[in-house]
Amino acid sequence: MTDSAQLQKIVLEYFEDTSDKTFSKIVKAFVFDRGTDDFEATGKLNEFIDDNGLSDVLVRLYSDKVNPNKIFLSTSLSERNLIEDLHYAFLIESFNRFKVLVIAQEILELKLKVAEKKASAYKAVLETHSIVLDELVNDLENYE
Amino acid sequence: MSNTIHIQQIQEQQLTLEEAKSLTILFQGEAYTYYDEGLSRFVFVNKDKTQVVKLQFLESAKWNEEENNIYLNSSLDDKKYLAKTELVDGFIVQEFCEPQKFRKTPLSIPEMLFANSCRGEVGWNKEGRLVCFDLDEYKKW
Repeated sequence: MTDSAQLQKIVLEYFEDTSDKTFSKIVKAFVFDRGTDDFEATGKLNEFIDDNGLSDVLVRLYSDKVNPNKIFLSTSLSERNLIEDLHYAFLIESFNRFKVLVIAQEILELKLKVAEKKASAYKAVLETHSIVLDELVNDLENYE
Repeated sequence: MSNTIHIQQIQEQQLTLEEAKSLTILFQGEAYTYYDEGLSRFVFVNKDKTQVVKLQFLESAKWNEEENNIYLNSSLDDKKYLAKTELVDGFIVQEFCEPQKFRKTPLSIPEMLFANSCRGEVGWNKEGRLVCFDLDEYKKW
């Protein structure tokens, strides 16, 4: 298994029980550096960073980002590559979740179509029954 | 060249990869067979896979001395992440560690960071720790 595939597996397993809503905030904060106003997302992201020994690397990476003109960067090439691969792993997990949502939406639309067809079939049957019933009532009235 | 040769005799000959692969060398009374090669050295391993010997096949390079110096000058903290290494009669004798490139164990993120910083020249020693076996690459990348 390549490092990239392994990172995807780590992200997938670590955030398995995290909701899509919280995960999207985590991605926004971690991949796009936008911060988060969500206590749960911040907590989970910090937990992930601590559990995987990334605090030190990320602090140095941040320092490199705010001082891009430094001659000597604080992070090594392998560290920067790994964080980049990790960002991809988060984006791939986001895509997978998005794909699941799209499939769920398609299934829902299909169910809705089936339900509509069933409803129109029931309506037709009901109309037929109603006509037959009217005729029966008429017949009964004439008989009387 | 016969298939079994004393290690001292090798210094007088230029080994090709093909020859190295078919060779058994005797070192300190123990037989070593070909295991792997680097850019300038062949690696031979003993039968119980506890130790390797590194032989230079490029005379211009002095990687054995260089590697020994790196180990000797490393701090105790760094030594925890280096395969135990010593120079014996000009040859590097190192504790055996199964290279990650052969074993392909899924790595955790800290292990990945370490492995990548050593350009992947890491392996698992008998204690189950991931250590760098090509000391010149240690945390260089």
